[in-house]
Amino acid sequence: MLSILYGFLITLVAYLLAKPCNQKIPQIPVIVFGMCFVLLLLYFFGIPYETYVAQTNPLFNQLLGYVTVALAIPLAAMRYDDLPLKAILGILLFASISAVALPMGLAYLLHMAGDDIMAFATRAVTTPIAINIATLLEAPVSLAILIVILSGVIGAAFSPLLLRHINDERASGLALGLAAHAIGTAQAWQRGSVAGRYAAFGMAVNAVFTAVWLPTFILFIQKM
Amino acid sequence: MNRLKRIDWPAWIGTLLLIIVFRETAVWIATYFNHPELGNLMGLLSLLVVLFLWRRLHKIPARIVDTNNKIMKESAFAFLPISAGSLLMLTYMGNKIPAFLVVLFLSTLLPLWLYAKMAKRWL
Repeated sequence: MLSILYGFLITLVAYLLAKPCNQKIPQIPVIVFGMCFVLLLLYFFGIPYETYVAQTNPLFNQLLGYVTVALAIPLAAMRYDDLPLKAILGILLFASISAVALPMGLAYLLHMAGDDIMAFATRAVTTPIAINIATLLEAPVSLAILIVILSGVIGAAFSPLLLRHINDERASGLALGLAAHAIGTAQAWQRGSVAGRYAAFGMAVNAVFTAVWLPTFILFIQKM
Repeated sequence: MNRLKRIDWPAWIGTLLLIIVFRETAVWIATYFNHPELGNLMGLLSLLVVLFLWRRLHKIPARIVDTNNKIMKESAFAFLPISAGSLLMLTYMGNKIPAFLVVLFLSTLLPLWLYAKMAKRWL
C-alpha cells in the first residue's frame, strides 16, 4: 500500500513540476515534461522503472479507464446539428483507413518483420482498443502498446509546430484525436475545450470504427 | 481558502460518481462475460447512450460539462507512468530503432497535418 503511495507521489510531483514548465514553454506538451520528470525522479531515488510501474499500474489503469469513460460527456454535449455530417464521415473514413495502411505500408517497405508490421496496424487507436485489436490479430501486444503511446507522444509533442497555421480549433482538435488518440486528446484539451471536444469525438469514433472493420478485414484476408 | 470555496463540490461529486459507476459496472459486466479488456469501451458507449437519451428530454447540465472539461484538461496525468515506460522501452530495441522511428514519425505527423488541413477546409 505504501509503495503504491510512493509511486503515486512520484507521478504527482512530476506532473506538478511539468505544469509550470509547460506554461513557460507551451510548445512542449505537459506530458513530455512529465515523463522526463518521472524518469529523473526514478533515477534520483534509485527506483527501477519495473518496480515503479508494477506499483502504479493497477491505480493508473483504473484512472485511464475513467478518462476513457469520461470522453462520453463532451461527446454527448456536442452540438451535431451544425456539423457537416458528410464531410465529417469522409474525414473519419479516410483517417481510419489511412491510419492503418500508411504505417503498415511503410513498415513493409522498410523490410520489418511480419509481427512488427501487424503491430503497426493499431497505431492510431487508443490503448485499450489497440490491445484488443493486437490480440485478435495475434500481433505482439507490448509492441502495439509502445507504438500507440509513442505515436501519441510524437503527435502531441509536434502538434504546436505542425498546427500553428491551422487557426481553427475544431480542425486542430479533430486532427489530434484522429492521429494521436488519447494523448493527442489530452493535448487538445490543453489548447481549449473546443479542440478537446472535437479531439474526443475523433478519437472515440475512430476507435470504435477501426475496432470493427480492421480485425474483420485482416481475418478475412488471412482466410483467403 | 477562497479557491476551495469556489469549487462546485456537488458538480464534482456528481460527475465523478457518474464516471466511476458507469466504468465499474461496465468492467464488472465485461469481466463476467470473460472480456475484461472491453470494459472501458463498454463504459464509454453505455454512458454515451444514456446521455444521448437524457439529451432528448433535458439539457445536459452545464456544470457537469464544465467539471468534466476540468477533469479532461488534467487527463495527461493518467498517462504519465506508461508514457515514461515507452521512452525506456525504445532504448531496448537495438538496431530496429531507426526504421521503427521513421515509420512512427512519418505515419503520425503526416496524417496529423493532412487531417487538420482536410478538416479546416471541410468543416
